[in-house]
This record gives sequence, structure tokens and C-alpha cells, in this order.
Amino acid sequence: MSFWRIILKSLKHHRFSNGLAAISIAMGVALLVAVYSFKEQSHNAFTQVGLGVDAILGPKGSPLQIVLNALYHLEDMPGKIKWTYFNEVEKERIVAQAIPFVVGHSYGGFRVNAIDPRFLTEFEYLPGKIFSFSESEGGKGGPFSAPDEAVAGWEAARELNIRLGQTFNPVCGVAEGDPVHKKDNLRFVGVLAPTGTPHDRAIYIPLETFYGLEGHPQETALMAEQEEFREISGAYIKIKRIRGGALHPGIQDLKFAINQSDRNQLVVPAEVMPRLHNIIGWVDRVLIAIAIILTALSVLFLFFSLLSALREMRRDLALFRALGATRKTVMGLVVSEAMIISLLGGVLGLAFGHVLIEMGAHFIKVETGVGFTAGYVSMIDWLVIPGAVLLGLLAGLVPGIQAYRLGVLDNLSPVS
Amino acid sequence: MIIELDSLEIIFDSGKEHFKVLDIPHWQVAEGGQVAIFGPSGSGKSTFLHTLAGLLPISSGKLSVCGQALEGMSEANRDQFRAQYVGYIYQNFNLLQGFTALENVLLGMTFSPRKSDPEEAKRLLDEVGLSHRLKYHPSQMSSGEQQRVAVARALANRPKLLLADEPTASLHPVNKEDVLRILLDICNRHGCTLVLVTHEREVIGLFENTVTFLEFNRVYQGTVGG
Repeated sequence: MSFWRIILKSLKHHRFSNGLAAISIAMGVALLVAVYSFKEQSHNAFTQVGLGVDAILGPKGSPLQIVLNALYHLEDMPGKIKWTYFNEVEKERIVAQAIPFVVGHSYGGFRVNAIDPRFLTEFEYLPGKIFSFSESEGGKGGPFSAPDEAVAGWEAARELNIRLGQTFNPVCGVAEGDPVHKKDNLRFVGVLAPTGTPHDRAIYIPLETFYGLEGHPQETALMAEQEEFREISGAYIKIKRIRGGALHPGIQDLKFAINQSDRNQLVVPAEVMPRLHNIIGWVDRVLIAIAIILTALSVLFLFFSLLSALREMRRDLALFRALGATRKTVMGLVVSEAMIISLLGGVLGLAFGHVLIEMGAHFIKVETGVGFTAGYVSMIDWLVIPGAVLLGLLAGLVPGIQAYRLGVLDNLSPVS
Repeated sequence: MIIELDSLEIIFDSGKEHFKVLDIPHWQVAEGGQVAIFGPSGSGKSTFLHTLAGLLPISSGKLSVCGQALEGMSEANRDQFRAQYVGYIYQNFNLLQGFTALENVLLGMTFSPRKSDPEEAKRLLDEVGLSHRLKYHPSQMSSGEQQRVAVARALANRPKLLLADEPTASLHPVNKEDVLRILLDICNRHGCTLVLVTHEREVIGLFENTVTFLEFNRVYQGTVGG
């Protein structure tokens, strides 16, 4: 009978307490794995090179609010900017591409953004990636080419069960109860293939359509005809690259120049998002602290259950000694048992953690459009197995030492 | 001689108390011998057996068992010595409750230099008449059957010396002679030296060689067996 078979028998003999210890470790590890994965994935998602946007030209207001609105379809835009000003910025020598947009409408809970058609055909939403309508990739139809046409992001289309040719009336606003443009029947002509970005959670209509929607003030209609009156919510700006793919250093001068104005500002998402992380970072830290405490408590539970099991095992261990097992061997049995329970807890926790991510990812995707995947391997995933073995070793050390010190004759047969 | 001792002393020293448990000037047992050590409770019989098994360190004197000098031997080496040369049978069987009869016997091979051999374990259980109880747990067997499993386990490492500590004391009178005869017979077949301690007069009747521990700390001197 091998050393491992003896351990297996012992694990089986105390399966209830061992199972509880493994499950409690698994819970702590699962929480740790899930929190770390969400933390890293959200950090990656919110720093995806500004989702293809180097800068956002927008009105004065909170830069964070502008980023959340323009890139994540959350919050409201704090105002509008003049089309003529946008034209000036677009002509700046370091600007490679400028995509104007107007926000403020919605349909079925999803934002409806009026946007320059180049957004759908030329704009790189991530480096080297433009939107696709290919059916093999999950898309349908094509980009809009007429004012009454619209394109849905993949998640919006899925949630609202949008079919090509289906018409809808946009809501003038993003809050419940806002008025509906009842006379404007827009038609879906395309669904974007999934991108794993918040762009999946929006509906896009041509920029000029916004100005012609029924019910808007007369000044808005005038914006369509006369450029000097025209306003937009903002524009996605791509900056030219210099050698090595770095942003043109002139972006700082441009930002400084734009920010001097009373009405406009240039927001660089890569500078703003870390601030968001600082704000929500404490939530991560609290969750990680809870997970660590939970894991520590479960290891403590393992420690006490081993001590308790050791009391039952004294005679067995003494018998092993009587049969020729050395002190080191019996100590090895106890410590190995602790390490196996902890390892089992670690492996289960890793699996549970990824199940938790899969469940949470669906919820977050629906709420924010940010794609999380259970397949993501975070730094903590690599540490779980060696960490679990180490924790098992620590939990088993004191019971192991007690087993080492166990007297053979004190725990065996009565003497005659 | 399989056991040879000179001026053997076992002294228990608890710090406050210091007393001599065994003091044996000279004793030896020839290979293949079957010896019963008889004496009342507390006369030091078990202590003597534990000393022969290397479970207790020797305070002074010389003790050679199976050609191994136990005096001055480290505890780890005594563990190895026991695993290789000694089989031990206890009054209360000391079978592991979570293990089957077969697994209990295999356990006797686990710590010895020999490889675990399930076929030999089965054969040993067959020799003690328990081939039909291989997968039974101790709680599913009678005390006589449990002691027979313990006999098979004690032989699992092919010991040269079998030590039996009151092996029949916990048995029903019907089973006592049965277990003893199996023990003596199996030792003969395996060429194994047997040293048995007992306080039961009826047990010593089955042995040609008997030594008597009269009372605590008294000694015996001589040669037996062979």
C-alpha cells in the first residue's frame, strides 16, 4: 500500500470535515479569482487605447463624464460644440481622423448616436480593427446610406431582437418617459458584428438625421442647412503617429490650445481613465480584502479540522510508527493531507471563480457593454495552485509537528 | 542467536522520578524458537517486548536482535529495523478501522523495504483462514477474526522475529486456543522466531519454552529455544 493510498484512505475517512475545509477554501479562492479577473479585465477594457480614440473633442465639463458618455454610452454629455470649431480642429496638421457625433437619443434603453458614416466604414475601434457586418462574424446587412436608416450594435440587436428592415421611433432623451419622435420611422439596415466593446451597446443613425428629427426646436433644423449654426455633441479624434507608433507629441499643444477656449475641451481618455480606476479602486481593494480574509479563515478552518482529525488519528499514526514508519513519515502524511485538501480547494476555487466570472460577465455586458470573459487568465490564476499548496503546508505544519512528536506507546495497546 | 542481550537496563527517567524497569544480566533466544514470557501485570513483560522491537531506547547494556545491535541505534534506524525484521501483535489488535482486512495486511508491508504485494497479503489471510473476509472492515469481524488479521499483518513484512503482546487476552475463550495454534503453526511454517508475553497460565501450556517474570524489576537469566 502506497503512501498516497494511505492519505487517500484518511481523506475518505474524514471526508465530511475535509470536504467542508476544501469548499471553504474554494469559496475564498473563487472570490479572489473573480475579483482579480474583473479588476484586470476592467482595467484592460477601460484602457483599450481609448477604444480606438486618442482624444475626444467635447464641450467644457467633467472630462470623465465626456469619456463615459462618448466611449461607454453612460452619463450625459455636458453640452455641445460648434460645427465650425470642429472643422478647425479637424484641419489641425496632427489630426488623422475626426468623427463627429451627436448623442442624446435612445431606443429600448440603448443610446442612439447620430454619427458620421465614416465611423462604420473607416474608423478603427481598436488598433487595426474596423467594424464588420459580415455574417460569418455575427453581423448582418451593411452601413446606413440614407437618412432614415440605422445600424445596431451587436448587443443592442440581440437584446432588442432587431431584424433587418424593422423600423423604430427614437426617443428624444435617455430617461424613461422622454418623448418619442413618433413621426420619424427609422429602419435598421445593418447589425455590427460583435466587438467586445461598448460600441456593441449602441444604435447608430446618420449625423444629418439628428437635425431633421421631428419635434426638435426650429434652431436644430436650421443646423442642417447652415453650418455656422450647426452643433454637435463631440468628435472622436485620431492623432497621427510618429515613428514607433507613438502619438504625435503635438497632442499636448493641441489640448492646451483647445482647453484655453471657454466652450470646448480636448479629453485624452488614456489620461482620464486612471482617475476612474482610482475612484473605483477602493471597491476592488475592499473585495480583495474580503476574499483574502475569507481565504485566511478557511485555512484556519482547515487547521482546526486537521487538529481535530489528528486527535482521532493518534492511534492510527502510532500504529504506523509501530509498523516502522519514521517520525518524518507520519508528519509527511499529515502535512500532505493538508496540502491535498488545500490544493483541492484551490482547484475548485479556480473553477468556481471562472464560473463566477462567466455569470458576472453576462450581467456586466448587458449593463455596460464591456466584454468580460471567463477564459481570461489573470495574475492570481497562476498563483492559486502554488499558493494553495503553500497554505496547505502552513495549515498542516502544526498538526504535522504534533504527529511528529506523537509517542508510539502512549497511543497504542495497554501495557501488561 | 536471534536475540542476545547482556546487562540490559531500561530506566524510566521522568525528571522527578528515576526507576529501573528492567534489569536483565543475560538472555538469549535461538533462531526459530518459540518462547512464552509469563508474569503478572506490571512485571515489565510489555516493556521488554517493546525494547526487543526497538520501540524503547536502551538505557544501558547490549541488545542484539536479528543481528542488529540496538544499543545506541538512532530512533529512525530502530524504526527501519522494526519495519524490516519485526512483526508485532497487540492485545487489542490495533487494526485500522477505515481499512479492510486486506488493506490492514498490506499496511504491514508499506513501511518495510519490501514492495507491497496484494497477492501475498491475500495468501497470508488465506493462511489464517480469512480468505472470505478480504474486504471486510474490522467492525464487521469477530474479535477472533480481527486477531487473525493482526497475525497476518504481523507476518506481512516477512519478519524474522514475531512479538506477541497478550494476543489472546481480549479474545473469547473459544477463540483463544484457535488463534494461538494458528500463531504457532504459522511461525513454524515461516521459520519465524516467536516471543509471546502473557499473564494467562493456560497459554503457556502450549509452549515448550517458558520464562517467568516474577514481579516488577525482577530478572531472568538463561538461554531458551532453538
